[in-house]
Amino acid sequence: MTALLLGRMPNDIAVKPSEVTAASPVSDPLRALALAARDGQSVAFTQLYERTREQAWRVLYRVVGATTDLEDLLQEVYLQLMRALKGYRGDSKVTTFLHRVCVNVGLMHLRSKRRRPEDVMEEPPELGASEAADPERVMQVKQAAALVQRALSTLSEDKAAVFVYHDLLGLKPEEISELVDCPVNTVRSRLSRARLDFTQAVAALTPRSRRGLP
Amino acid sequence: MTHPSHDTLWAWALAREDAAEPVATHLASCPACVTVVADIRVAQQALASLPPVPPLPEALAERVGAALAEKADRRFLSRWGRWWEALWTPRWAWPVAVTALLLALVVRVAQTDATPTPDARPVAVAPVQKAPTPVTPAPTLPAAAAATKGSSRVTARVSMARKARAQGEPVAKAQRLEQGATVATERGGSLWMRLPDGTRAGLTGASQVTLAGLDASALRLEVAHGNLAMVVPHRAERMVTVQAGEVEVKDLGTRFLVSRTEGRVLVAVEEGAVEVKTPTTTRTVAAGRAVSWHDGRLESLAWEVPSPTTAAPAVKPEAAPPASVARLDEQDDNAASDDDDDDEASEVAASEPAPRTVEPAAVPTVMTSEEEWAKLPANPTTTPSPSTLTDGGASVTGPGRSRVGRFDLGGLEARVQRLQRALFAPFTPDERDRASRMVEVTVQADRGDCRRALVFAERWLRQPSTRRAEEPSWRRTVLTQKWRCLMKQGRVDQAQRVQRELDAQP
Repeated sequence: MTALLLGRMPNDIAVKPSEVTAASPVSDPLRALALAARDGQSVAFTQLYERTREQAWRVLYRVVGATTDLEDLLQEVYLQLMRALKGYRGDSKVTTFLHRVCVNVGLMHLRSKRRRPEDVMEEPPELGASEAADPERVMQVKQAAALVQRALSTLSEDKAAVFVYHDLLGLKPEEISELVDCPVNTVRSRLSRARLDFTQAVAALTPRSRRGLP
Repeated sequence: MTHPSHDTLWAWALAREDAAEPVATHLASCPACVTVVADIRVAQQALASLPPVPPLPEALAERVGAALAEKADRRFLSRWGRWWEALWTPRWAWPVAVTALLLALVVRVAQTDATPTPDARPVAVAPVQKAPTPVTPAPTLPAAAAATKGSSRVTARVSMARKARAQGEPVAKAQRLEQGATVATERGGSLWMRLPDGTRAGLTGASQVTLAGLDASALRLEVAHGNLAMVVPHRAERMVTVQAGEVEVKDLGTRFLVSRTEGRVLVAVEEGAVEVKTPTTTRTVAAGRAVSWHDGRLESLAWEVPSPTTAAPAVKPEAAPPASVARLDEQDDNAASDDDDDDEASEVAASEPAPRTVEPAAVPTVMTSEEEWAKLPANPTTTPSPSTLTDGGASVTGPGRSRVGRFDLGGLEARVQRLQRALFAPFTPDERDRASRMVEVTVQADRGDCRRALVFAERWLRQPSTRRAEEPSWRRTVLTQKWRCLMKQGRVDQAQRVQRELDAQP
């Protein structure tokens, strides 16, 4: 794509010696790509996108669900990353920042949807339900997803990130602590508070009778 | 009393521990914690219902990648201002080279023209004197024939228009519309078009349609938004197709309506049948039925076609069709003469809103025209009783017609709006509660907890129904889960009773 047009092969990414940190480009290629993109190499940014897009997609999908806005949101995540790379010094993980941006962008989208009148949920055409899918089941799943997203939009960024990683993406606290760059105990405590807030949010959105209460 | 932490209750609810656990013992005497556990269970059920994350679609990834690459390139150029470097990269070299070559050619040509050749000498040329010849206009074909010469193209003719535009310009009656024309009506507007074969297409207010294909053997219309009514006499040698987004409707000789709004397409058939094709399925829809395409799903609905003896329901003033909606008598299939224009002129004049002094109280509603329509074409010579329109209080009366049938755009629009209100209405708290309980039945059944699923199903079925369009679908779901659980428990007789109840569902 861009690499071919500019006459460069994907591997020809030069990193200045002064930028090499303890985590060498070999062990952390994403860091090298981020540094190169910061220095103006658009090819590097394209490669960074191609290497991280699946992760970003998973996080975004879990936060906002199936919506036609996913394409715009995915683009927005990387545009924010592009802008933030100006001040990148290579001392933090790219994935940490990327995941944080994904959760932020997703939550902002949910909150803006909450302020607008309820839109009809449409899936991106590429994700259309197959003919074999039970229509009633599809509807039930969508209703459950809408409830989760509305409750998620009430959480703060820190708690929402940990909740999404643990309870929606199935990551362990140790993995999450690397992602969000904080101690494991902090992750556990945030998760506990996030679950409490999430439960209260869902309860507020659900009538007492539906919860089996008088 | 010490209460277990929220984390403990969460883990307990997730693990569904044995009742002998200390937490269970505490719950037996602590209503507050019971409430917390109930809330936790609802939250966990919602999370458990989420589908797995699908893989990133390649097409979507490429589109985003292309957009990002372009922005990254621009950012690179603007950041460093080394546009001159970019000019000499292979990406830009070719355009620059070609432009330079063209410029060089232009300069060369300009120089050649300006510089006289050594051999060139001005030569005087005297005009040849000829006798003046009379100027006769070249023969031209009549407009209609010219349009169709060498092709089977036809044009549509506007038979009635109010607050309507074609290609952005106001539409006039008897105006011809060519293939590719886009007609649109404003809110409160309406328009009827007629084709030589007798096909009639009508737009209600706030609608837009493109005449994508106008050919003697195939007509194709595309609905951008709003309502399109079609009256199509069956012709074996001609196919009429209406496209509305992903939905394609093929006429099989009938009257039908295609309505397109944000996120949903509705196809309703008044007479005959149509074939509806979507990206996932193809279905024939008969008279009295409708289908709704939404969220990748084609849902079957009933479509109200009033019977002659049905009393028309009262229409609230705020729901009355706008004053500009016109009635139109359907012409005989073979009649396409200019006499129709006179008929329509008087028809439109008669449908002008009367002054406000007219009494609104004793007038029938818009459904009266449907009653008249429904009577025909069984008795085409019957003269229907005068029909009326309501207009937010005022009323107008038009003469009866002894023609074959009617297609009242106002009544049609009102029926579509009623159906859309039923389909689009936001959930009330009770409806949301009912929908959530229905989900809960399915969740419990999927988990294998048939005892709980059956309890929830019984409660749901005993509750009063809502008036939502989804209610029949919910009932089918709950009955299906009930049947599944009864079969799992070996209660075959009861399952068969539920099966019979399911079979009776619409």
